[in-house]
Amino acid sequence: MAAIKPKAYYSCLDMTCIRIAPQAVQHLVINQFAEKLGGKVSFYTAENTHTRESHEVILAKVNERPAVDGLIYYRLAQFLSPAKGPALEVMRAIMAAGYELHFAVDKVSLLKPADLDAFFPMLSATANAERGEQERDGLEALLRARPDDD
Amino acid sequence: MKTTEPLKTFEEQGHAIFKAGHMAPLDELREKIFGHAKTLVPYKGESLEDFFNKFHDYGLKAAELNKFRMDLMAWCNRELRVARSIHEAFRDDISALVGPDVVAQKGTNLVVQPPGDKDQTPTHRDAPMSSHFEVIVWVPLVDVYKTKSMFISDKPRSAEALGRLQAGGTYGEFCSFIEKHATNLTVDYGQACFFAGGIAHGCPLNAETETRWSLNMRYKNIFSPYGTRGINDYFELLTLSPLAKVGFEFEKLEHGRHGRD
Repeated sequence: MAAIKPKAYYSCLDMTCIRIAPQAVQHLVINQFAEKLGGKVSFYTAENTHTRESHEVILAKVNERPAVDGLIYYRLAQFLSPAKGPALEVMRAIMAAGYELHFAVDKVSLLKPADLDAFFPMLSATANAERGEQERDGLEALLRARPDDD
Repeated sequence: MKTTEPLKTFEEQGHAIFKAGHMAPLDELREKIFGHAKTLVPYKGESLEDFFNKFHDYGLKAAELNKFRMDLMAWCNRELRVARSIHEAFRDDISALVGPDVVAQKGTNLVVQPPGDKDQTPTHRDAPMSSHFEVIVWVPLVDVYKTKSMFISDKPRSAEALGRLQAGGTYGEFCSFIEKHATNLTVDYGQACFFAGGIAHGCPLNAETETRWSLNMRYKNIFSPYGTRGINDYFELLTLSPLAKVGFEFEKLEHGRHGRD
């Protein structure tokens, strides 16, 4: 009987939170998630500050049709823009190209495009919660910055 | 059909005991947990009730007991739909509290508390780690009473204890105040205690002669505020109202172009 070939993944780090989750920690979390999926990370990449909303780096990679089963992101928040909401179109494009999408921190695995549709309510709820938190933080910062009334 | 009297009690006390509207999902869940649990020990062939209540006869202690519990929980998470089964059993009352658009805890919390086991849950409130807008459903798998049960404080006392903490009181003082005023619940199998995140509760040392087995599960409305836990690693979608389904369909179309102009 032929051995089952382990799955291969690209790992996509989140460079916006490396102070809280250093690169080495993100590698550990993603590698462990890959193992749970029965696979291994074959390459890692990340968006930079200029591309984190457009996802140009990963879309360019996907267009090269790499021989991997999917992408493992550090966290779902990489697809949530405070101004624009979830980057659903980008997620759809990746999955339409035949790749699985995984989010290690969130323990979410989307294996086929229909999974993304089913997951949309949670994606939307997460985006709303993140936006609410950012608005609250912004309001608190404003209140802190307000000069004393006296 | 939702039960009006416990809902009124819940509003006044922050917790109440509800009877399952549908026993079949709960019975099936308990039977499956029993079915697997007995494979993890040298099973002596007792009935389900005896197996659970007399589980301490197997003599598992500390790390061994914890491993048994963790293995069983891992199996429950893999093989069962615990949140769905409990929701089906108590559906009308859970919906009366959180509405029809429900997310539920992904993982199963199972507690096995033999008599004399000192590893009991300390006095605490689930909020703010849990949202104030989620309901905790505590489901004993055996009849519980006195110290075989959990203790819980009512809303006024929980609020007073919080006020004392905020005024600089210590955690020890918080615990003492709650433990002095809390009640050990009497809950039969087939019932569950529902309580809000702000309600202080804990487990006493089990001084009875039977082992407690209980599950706890959290439910909230998908649209209500979340606590500090990660949303997706902790919750999964359970049910949506027809309006929410239509709403999400349109929202999907609007987000499809990565923006909400």
